[in-house]
Amino acid sequence: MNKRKIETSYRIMQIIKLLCEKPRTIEEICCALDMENKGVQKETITKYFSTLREFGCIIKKEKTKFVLKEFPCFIQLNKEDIDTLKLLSSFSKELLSKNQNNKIANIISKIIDKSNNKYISETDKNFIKENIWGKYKEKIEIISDLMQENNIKVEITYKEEKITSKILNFKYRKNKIYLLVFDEKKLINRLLLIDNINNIKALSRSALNVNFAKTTVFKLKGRIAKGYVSPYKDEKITYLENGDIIVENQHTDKNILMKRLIKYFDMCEILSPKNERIEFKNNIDNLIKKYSP
Amino acid sequence: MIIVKENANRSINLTGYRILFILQLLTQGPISKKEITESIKNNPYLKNISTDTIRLDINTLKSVGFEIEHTDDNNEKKYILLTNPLQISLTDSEIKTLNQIKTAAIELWDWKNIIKLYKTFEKVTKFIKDKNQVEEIMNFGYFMQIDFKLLEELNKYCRLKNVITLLYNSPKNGIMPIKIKTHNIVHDKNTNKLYLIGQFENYNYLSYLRIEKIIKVERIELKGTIKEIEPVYKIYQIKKDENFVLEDNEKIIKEENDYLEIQAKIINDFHYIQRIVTLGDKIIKVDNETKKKIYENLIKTRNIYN
Repeated sequence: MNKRKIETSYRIMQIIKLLCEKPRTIEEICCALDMENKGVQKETITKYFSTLREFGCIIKKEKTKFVLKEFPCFIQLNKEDIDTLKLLSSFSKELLSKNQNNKIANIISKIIDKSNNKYISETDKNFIKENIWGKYKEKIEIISDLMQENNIKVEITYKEEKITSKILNFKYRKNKIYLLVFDEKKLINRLLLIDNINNIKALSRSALNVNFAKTTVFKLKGRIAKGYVSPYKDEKITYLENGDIIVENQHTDKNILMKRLIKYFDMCEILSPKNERIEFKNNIDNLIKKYSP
Repeated sequence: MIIVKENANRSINLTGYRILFILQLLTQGPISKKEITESIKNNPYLKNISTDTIRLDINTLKSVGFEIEHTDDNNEKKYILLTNPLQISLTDSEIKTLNQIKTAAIELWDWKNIIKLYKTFEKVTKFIKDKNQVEEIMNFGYFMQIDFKLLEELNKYCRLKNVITLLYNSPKNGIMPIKIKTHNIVHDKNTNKLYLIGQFENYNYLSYLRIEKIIKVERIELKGTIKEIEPVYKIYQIKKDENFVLEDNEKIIKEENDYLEIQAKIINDFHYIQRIVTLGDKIIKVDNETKKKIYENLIKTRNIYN
């Protein structure tokens, strides 16, 4: 059913849509609005522009075309928002591959196009588009390309060790970048410092898209259990009646996990797998020798 | 907010002006016909209009591509702007990349910049059509639990080192008032939590309070009654290791070929003990008091595995 509309209002909104798409000449706008070939006058468009300007739009003429610079219904970004987007942009240049960085630059461009332009100078726009690379550029490029392939097995030369693995994710901590991988030989997830990755090459596709890393199960007690909020979104927590909790963690690097758990002292107990429980106990024994009076 | 200029140019089309006005009202949130009429009454350019005219304007917006629903909101029929053709369209691949850099930002940035990023994204996502994409972009993990206004209020008190009484939901004791001399707010990257660091009465060390457990600030004392404690420093030696990351309260005071000497400003004694024990067998030397406490705690831990 054709719902009634107000013709003048319709045209005003069409002008906004047209100018949002790209800069236009008056003739192009007249043509686009003249759907019924009744003839839309340039003076009419001029009056529509006056109406838009009175409302708060900024419409500027650049050479022969009109550009919508600001529209009160756009995203209202302030100076702080622009600075944040600039920070995000420069951050992306340090951490992402060229392809990914282009995507971020694209996204920010789309945001700026739909925002009021008062705080966005040409310098800011150029900053967002400029390419400046961090020291990990080459490694990030190679790794990011490999991550695009599904289930690809890789051989990573980490210091002097060769690790056959599946790449899971980048991880970041303070000023360091790590690669989280599934070590297919040791069947554990490992965090590799990107500085120490000397070489990485594709081998073949993994047969299955599953992570066979063993799950570490540990119990937390007392005030640690009461206040525990997992720093990892995929840790599974089971609450016991006595207030203790059982936590299942599959994806964290085991060394990182053990360091985290040891600081809970006697409020934490590793339950399984057996080898990790024994390894943890041996670690405690070594530390006791170290700290004994 | 709409700012109307005085002595404005009157050669404008008021019908066109009115639809822009209504569109702006819709972008600010759900609105009823009655509220639209009231707002129009207060605008010097526009005359009183009938509900029929409002309906026609809404139809006009719909015909241009705005998706508007007339539905119940708190037991009142309101117009809600669902989507608009001025929206930003992002591909799945762009969303995935944006989420990756957002995750990195949350792990690496200072908490103030993380909150600024959240607020910017909040503005931007109002212009994104796909609700699933919006949900993904706006998922800031732990920070979803934080009351930003309260956090900014606490930060202000920290800058002034105010003594405040706040209502705290303690994991051990439930909801209780706590009087604290505020020092600063830290984002512990190890646990990915925000803490208010401050000094309790009659306690020699600084304490950590989890921000998400703070319910509200009940009282502020202009003149603090908690005496400032002298900072305590401890020194430890650690083998050089590429994975070693200096904490914010630490500094390197000596560097040799194979080891570092670190001075730590003790915020909390137990936190320091935890810090040392997580450094494992890389530790070469610590003070006797810390050594003794670690030993006692390790013995208790070892007993669990007998």
